[in-house]
Amino acid sequence: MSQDRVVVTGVGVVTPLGCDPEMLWARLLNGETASQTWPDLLAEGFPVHRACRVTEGALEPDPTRRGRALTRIAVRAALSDSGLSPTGRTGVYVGTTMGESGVFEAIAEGAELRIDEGVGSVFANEVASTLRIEGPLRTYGTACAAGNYALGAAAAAIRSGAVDAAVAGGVEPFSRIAMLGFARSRAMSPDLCRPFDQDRTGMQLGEAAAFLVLEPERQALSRGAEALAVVAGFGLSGDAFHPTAPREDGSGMAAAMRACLAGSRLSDIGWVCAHGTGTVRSDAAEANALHAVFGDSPPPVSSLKGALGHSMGAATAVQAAVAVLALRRRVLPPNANLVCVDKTLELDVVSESRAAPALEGVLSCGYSFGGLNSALLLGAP
Amino acid sequence: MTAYVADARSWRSPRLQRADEAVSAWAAETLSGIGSGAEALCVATLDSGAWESVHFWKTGLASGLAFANPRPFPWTLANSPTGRIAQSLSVRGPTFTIVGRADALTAALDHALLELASGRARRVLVAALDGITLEETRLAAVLLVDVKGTENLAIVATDSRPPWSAIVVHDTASETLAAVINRLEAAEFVAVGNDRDGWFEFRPDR
Repeated sequence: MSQDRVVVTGVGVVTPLGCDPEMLWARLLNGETASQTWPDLLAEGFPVHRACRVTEGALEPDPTRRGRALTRIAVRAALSDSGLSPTGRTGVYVGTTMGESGVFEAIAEGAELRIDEGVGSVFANEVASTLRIEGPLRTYGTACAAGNYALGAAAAAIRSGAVDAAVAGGVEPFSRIAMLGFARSRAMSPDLCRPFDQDRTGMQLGEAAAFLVLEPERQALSRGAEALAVVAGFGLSGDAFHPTAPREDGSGMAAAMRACLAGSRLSDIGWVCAHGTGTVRSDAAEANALHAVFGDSPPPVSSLKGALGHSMGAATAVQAAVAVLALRRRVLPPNANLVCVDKTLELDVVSESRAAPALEGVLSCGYSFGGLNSALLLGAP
Repeated sequence: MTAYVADARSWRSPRLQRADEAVSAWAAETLSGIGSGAEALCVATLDSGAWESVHFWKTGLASGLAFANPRPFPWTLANSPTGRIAQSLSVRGPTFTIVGRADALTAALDHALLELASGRARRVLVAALDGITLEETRLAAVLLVDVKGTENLAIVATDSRPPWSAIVVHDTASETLAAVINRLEAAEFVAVGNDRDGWFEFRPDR
């Protein structure tokens, strides 16, 4: 068992606001949103036509391989940023919600594809085969918390000595199945997603991939790699309450946060990168959880989902990537599309980019259908 | 790491048309008998949510997207059975849904033993399920505990590669775990795993 700290040495992203971290960061600080109306969704008869989709980068035109392409691009970028050459003891840890959704859609439309070409494990297999990685391959199908699961599991595997390094994160290609499901469930905003706003009307679907390279600090230092951040905590809990709704008091979310923060000083947490889907109930439950954990004055809070949409299995991995950038620059990105904060939540929602010179820790949260809650703590190196 | 198998069962059920009905029935009628008191849940599956995704899209196209029935949508997600089982068993600790073939079972066992070793849980239910809405639904589960008891079925431990004669190899997690349970019921030494993810051996303890 290694007592060495687990550090982040590389970040790779593919998002609707940019396919490199610097571009993404600049556009987040500007308060931009990738939300737009899509003619194809309108033509196909979707009840909601707005979404945040990736439009740049060398994307795979075949929709049944889109998620694998997003994965390859983000993983290669993370490894390039890190300078790490994967060895036989490098693990691959991937979170996803819908898997390669285009395969399921194609099968439903009559294509002769095998169902296992669409299940979530195809992404880790793709990384292993293209990069010839021989270490453990793990796929966490834990919906909107999946990226956190992958990152937390990777850090634990490094601490236990099971692997020497890991590529960990999440991926979610645009899913028509999810677009239909959320729209027909009336969970989606017809215009912009406005997390923590008093007039928030729902979520917006996104797509993304984000991967981080994790390794023991001593190994990173010995090969001359820069530690960008420390994986300082990870916590999980279950609501055991409802198939889709969270506990209104946020007690399940709070349990994951407390498990994550055990051993850390609450005063070191300078920003919460919130789940913040923009739905009335989920944002309210998350606010309750933050008050239960931090008391009357939780740290400043932003959600990235107004800017990027909800990329489900990739969402918490994107949050982790942005948390690393925030720790590096000691700046908090704003909660895009905020017009008038919901005062009943009693949160300090970041409305414009804000300098945070003393930022030492970022709590990144994600919760999934079925009440599966996660929290990840990233610290300054 | 070491833990103990307190109980183990496997089931095969005929085709169940709807995933929510299938999983609710298992949770209430079968898993409750083995998973009572579980504080964490590790589920391994290859296709949970996959066939439901195909069905949801097909019926949505047939009805017209504007009129699609949203009720089955949550079951297109791989983790929905995990959430439903956790709700039924009141599991408020960590819950994992690991997607893959037999390697997903190895990962689930790994997470279960880590939860026990860390003290975060004292009883962990490891379940494997596949083919939820296919012709035959397969489910197998073992309850792992952190203390040796007089009625424990087996000791489970991580190990280097065991002898080939002990290794159970099947395609899916549910088939593999069911085979493990069969061997344990015959009081045989059995092992699962692979060189990527590690090995787990089960030694009869009765």
